[in-house]
Amino acid sequence: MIADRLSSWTRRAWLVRHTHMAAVLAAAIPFRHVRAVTYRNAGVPYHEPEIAKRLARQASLADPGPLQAMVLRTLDAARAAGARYADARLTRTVGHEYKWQSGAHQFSAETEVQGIGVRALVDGYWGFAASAVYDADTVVRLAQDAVAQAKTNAAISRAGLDNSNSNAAGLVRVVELAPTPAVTGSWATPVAIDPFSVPVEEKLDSIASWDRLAQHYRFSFPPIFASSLVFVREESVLGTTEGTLVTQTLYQTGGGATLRLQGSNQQTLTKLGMAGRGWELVLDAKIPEQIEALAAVPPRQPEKAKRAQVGRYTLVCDGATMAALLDATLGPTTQLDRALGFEANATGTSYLNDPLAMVGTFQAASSLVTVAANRSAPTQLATVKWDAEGVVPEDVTLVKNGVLVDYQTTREQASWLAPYYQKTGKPIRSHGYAGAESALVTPLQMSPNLALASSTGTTRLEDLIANVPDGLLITGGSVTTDFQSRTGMLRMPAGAMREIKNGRVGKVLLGGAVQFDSPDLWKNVTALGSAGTTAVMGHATTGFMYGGIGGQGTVKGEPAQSTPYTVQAPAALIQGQAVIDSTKTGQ
Amino acid sequence: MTVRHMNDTDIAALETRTASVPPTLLASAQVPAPQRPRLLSLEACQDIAQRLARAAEGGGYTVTNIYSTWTGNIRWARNQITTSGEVRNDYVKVIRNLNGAINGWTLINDTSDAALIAVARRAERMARLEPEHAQSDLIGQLANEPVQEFNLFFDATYQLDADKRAEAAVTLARKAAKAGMLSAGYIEISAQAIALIDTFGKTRYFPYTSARFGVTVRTPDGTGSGWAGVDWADWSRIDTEKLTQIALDKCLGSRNPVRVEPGRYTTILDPQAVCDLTAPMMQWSGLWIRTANGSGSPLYQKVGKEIIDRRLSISADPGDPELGFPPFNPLLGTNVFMGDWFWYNAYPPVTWVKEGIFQQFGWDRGDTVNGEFKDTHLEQAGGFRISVTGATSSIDEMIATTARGLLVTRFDRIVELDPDSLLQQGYTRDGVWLVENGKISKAVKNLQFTMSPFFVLNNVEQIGVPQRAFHPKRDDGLMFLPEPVIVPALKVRDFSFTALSDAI
Repeated sequence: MIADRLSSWTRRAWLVRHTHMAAVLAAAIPFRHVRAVTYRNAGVPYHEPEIAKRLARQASLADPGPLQAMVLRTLDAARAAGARYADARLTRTVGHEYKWQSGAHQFSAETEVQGIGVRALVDGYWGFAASAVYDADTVVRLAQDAVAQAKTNAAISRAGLDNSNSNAAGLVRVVELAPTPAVTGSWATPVAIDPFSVPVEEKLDSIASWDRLAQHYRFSFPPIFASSLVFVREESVLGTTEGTLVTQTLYQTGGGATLRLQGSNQQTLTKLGMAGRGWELVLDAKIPEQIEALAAVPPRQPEKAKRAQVGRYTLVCDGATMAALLDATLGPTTQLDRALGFEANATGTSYLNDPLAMVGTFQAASSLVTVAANRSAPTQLATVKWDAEGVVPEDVTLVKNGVLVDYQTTREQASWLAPYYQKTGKPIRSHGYAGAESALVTPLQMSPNLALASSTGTTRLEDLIANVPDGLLITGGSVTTDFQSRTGMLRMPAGAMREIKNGRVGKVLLGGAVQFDSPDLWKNVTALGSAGTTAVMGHATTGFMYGGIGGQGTVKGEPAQSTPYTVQAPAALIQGQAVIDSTKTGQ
Repeated sequence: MTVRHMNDTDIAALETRTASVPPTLLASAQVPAPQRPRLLSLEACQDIAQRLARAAEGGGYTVTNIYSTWTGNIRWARNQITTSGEVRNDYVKVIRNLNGAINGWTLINDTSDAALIAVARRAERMARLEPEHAQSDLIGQLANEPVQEFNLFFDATYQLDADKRAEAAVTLARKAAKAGMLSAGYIEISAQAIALIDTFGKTRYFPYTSARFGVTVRTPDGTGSGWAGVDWADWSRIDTEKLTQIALDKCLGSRNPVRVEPGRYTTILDPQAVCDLTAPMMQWSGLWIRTANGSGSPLYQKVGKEIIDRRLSISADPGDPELGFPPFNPLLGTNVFMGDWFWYNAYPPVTWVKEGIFQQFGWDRGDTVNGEFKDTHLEQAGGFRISVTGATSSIDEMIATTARGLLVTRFDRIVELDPDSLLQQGYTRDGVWLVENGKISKAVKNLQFTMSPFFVLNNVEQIGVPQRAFHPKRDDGLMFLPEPVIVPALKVRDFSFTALSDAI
C-alpha cells in the first residue's frame, strides 16, 4: 500500500479523524476512492458561526428555490418593461487554487464570485445589465436597464439608418432567435467526489505528501518539485421569457506536478490537465506512484542535440501537437461570428470568411480530416446539458472528409445560415454553443469541445514514424497564428523536435519551428493515428481569479471573456511543412 | 489640480447628475427601483473594512483590498449595434493573518454582513494552514509612503450613458456605411475606486475613470482593413470621428495588397506599432522589476550605459496629466512567486532610461541599492512614456525621406520568443504599405516579424511627436488597471520581417 509507505514522511499519521466527513466520503464514492486522510488542523476547532452556515445553505443549489425566484422576478420585470424576449442568468462560481513549490506552500486563492445578468431583446436589438448583487430591488432595476438599452439601441439605430440607406451589409440586421423548446430541470457535471467537499487541509496535505515523497529522493536525485491544484464550481440558474428555467452545476478540476531534475531539462512528472471531473481526478492520477516510478529511472544522460536545418519536412505530430493545431486553426475559424466579421475589432476574423459560399463545398483539409464539435463528451470542459441560452447542444460535424460543412452557432447565428440549412434540408436551430464566462458578461458563441477524428485502425505513433524516410517528430507543440488563424507558427519545448531517419527516431533538433499556412497544413495531412494516439487537452478558465489561462480560441469578445473547453486529436502525418530557424531575424 | 477623494457626498452628487435610464423610455416599465451608487465611496470602503475587522476572530490583522467598478459598453459590427451592457461589481479581497506567513487570499464580490463574516472565517482557516512566522507583523511597520494626489476621475467618462454610447456607435457606423464599408467597433467606459485598508491604520483610496475606443473598418469583400483606437481617462479627449475616418482611410488605402518578399526593411512605425512592440517589453520581460543587480536581465551591468538611441528617454509618472494611472499598486497577491503579498508601494515618478542611458533597475522590498536598504518596491507600473530630445518628424516627412521601405500602423499577437534577448514575434495587422521614392506606392500584405524591441530602439533614423496609443488596461480577469502608453512614431533601419501572412 502506498499509504503505508507514505506514512513515514507525512507529518501526521494517516488517520481519518473526522468521522462525519469519512461517512460522507464513503457514501459518495466507490470503495477504491476511499483513502485515508490527514487533517493537519484536526486539533484546532474550526469555528463557523451560524450565519456563515446559513449563507452557505442559501447560496447552494441544493435549494435553488430562492435563486430561481430571483431569476423569475428579473424576467417579470423585463417583460413588464417591454422586452419581447429576455433571459436572466445567475451564477455563483467558487474557485480554489493551491500551489506548492520547492518544499513550501506557495500560494492559495479562494474565490467566490456571484452575479446576475439580464439580456433583453426589443425591436431586434439587445440590451444587457448585470450586477454582483441580486437583491429583489436590484434585479428589477437591472431588467429595466437592459430593456431601456435595447430600446435606445433600436431607436437610435433606426433613426440613423433612415439617413443612410447605403449600408454595405445590404439589410438592417434584426436579431432573430432560432426556435428552441422551453426546458426545465437541473443537471450537474457527474463527479464522484465534489472537490469542495474535500477540506482544504486535505488538499494541501496531498500536495505536501507528494513534495515530501519527492524530497525523500533528494540525495540520489535532487528534485525541485512544483505542483498545483485548481478546482472550480459554477452554479447557475438560467431563465428565459419563453419558459426555460434550468439549474446547472459545472465542475473543473485540474493542476499539475512538475519534478525538475537539477542539471538537466525540466521534466514534467504529470499533468493532471483540466477536466470536468471532481477530486477523483487527483486520486486517479496516482502521483505518488508516478514519483516513485520516476525515481527508479536512472538520471538521463544529456543527449547530443544538433541544430534543426531549415527546409521542407514530413512531420509526425503527436496528439497533443495536433490538438494545439486544431485549437488554434480550425476551431476558431469555424466560429460563425468570426467568419462574418463580428469579431473583427477584437481577436480577429476567419479565413473561412464567406460562410454561405464556402459551407458545403470548401475543401478545408485533406479527405482524411473530420472535425466535430460537441458539448456532450463526458469529463470534457464545455460539456453541459443546456447552453447559455437554454439550448440542448448538438454534436456537430464541422469538417467532414475535408469539406467545411457547418459552423459553430448560437440561436441568433443559426438564422444567418438559413439559406444553407434550407437547401440541405437541415433544421434552422442553434447548435447550442452559446456561452458566457459568468453572469456579468453577455453571452456569445464560445468554443465547444473540439475533436479531430482518429483513424479506425490500430495505427500507433510508431507506425506513423515507421513510414517516414526523412522527417521530424514533434511532441507537445504549441501554436500561435495571425488574427485569421491562417499563417501560424508551431513551436515546441526544447527536446521535443527529433529527426526521423528511415522510419526511426533520431537526434534532438534545437532551434527549429514550423511555419505553416493553415489550409495548406490541413490539406497535407496524409495519415492519422488511431484512437490510442489521441491526446485530450483541457482549457480551463480561471481568468476570474487572476487573469486568463487558455488557448487562442478561448478569449473572445469585447469585453474579452473565456469559457472552458476541451480539444482532442490523434497523432498525424503531415507532408511538406516548412521548418525555419525560430529565432532568426530575417535576411 | 483638484484632488478627488470621492466621499459619499461626491458620489451622491454624481448620481443625481446622471440618469442612467432615459426617462421617456421607462413609460411602460414599472417605477424604477432605487439605484445603488455606481461605485463605492471612501466611506463605503472603510465601512466594509471595519465590518470585516469586527468579524475577525483569533487575533492577527486584516488587510482589505477593494475594487469597485461600474462599466458601460457598446459594440457594433457590420455597421449595426450588436451588444451593449452595464455592469456593477465590487470585489473584496481579504487577507487575515494569524501570526503566520501570508501565502494567499480570499476574494468575494458580495459585501453583505453574512458574506463578510463567512469570508473572514475562510481567510482565517487558510491562515491557520501556515506555519508560525516571526515576521508576520512586519506589515505594521511598513512605511505608509505618501502617494501623489491628482485627479483621474472625469465626469465626461462617468456620464457617457447608454443613449450617448448608442448615438456614438450609430454615428460612427454610418460613416463607414456611407463609404460602402463595414465597421466593427467598441466603446467602453468605466469608473473605478480602488482601496487598500489594513487594521494597522493604513488606508489608500483612489477613484478614477477610463474610456476606450477602437474601430475596425473592412471592405465587404474582405480585401482591405483599417483600424484606429485610443484610450484616455477622460472620454472628451477621444475624437471618435477622427479615429473612424483614419480607420476608414486605412481600409480604403489597404485594398488589394500585393506581396512583398520578407526581409529587412527600413520601416516607418506608427505610434500604435511602437506601442505594440514596446509595451510587452515593459510588461513581461521583467526588465524593469528585476531586483537591484539585475543579474539574469539583458541589461545586467548596463546601468549608466547607452542601451537605446540617445534621442529617446523612457519614464513613468502616474500624475503626468497626459499619462495618468493610479499612484500606488492596488494589488494584493498577484505575484505568485514573490511570497510577498503586501505591496502598498507608491509609484513615484521614475526615469528608467534618460537620453539613451539606462538609469536604474527596479528593486524589491529588502534589497540594498547603493548601500541603502529599501523598504519599498520600485517597479514598472504598466503605463510609460517614451519622450524625445531634439527634432521630430511627421510620418509624412518620414515617408518623403524614404527611398524604399514599409509603413506599419499596427502589430498583433506578439509573443516573446526569448526572455534574454527580448526577441518577439508577431504580425502586422490592418494595413501595411510599401514606400518607394518618398511616396506610398502600394498596399502590401501582412507580414510576420521576429524582432527585439531593443534592436528597434537602437536603429532609429527619425522620430515623431510622442502621442497616446491604444493600450487600455492590464489583461486581468478582475480589474481595469489603466496602462497608458505615450510613444512617438519611429523610422527604423533593418526591421526584420520573416514571413508573409495572407490574412487581411
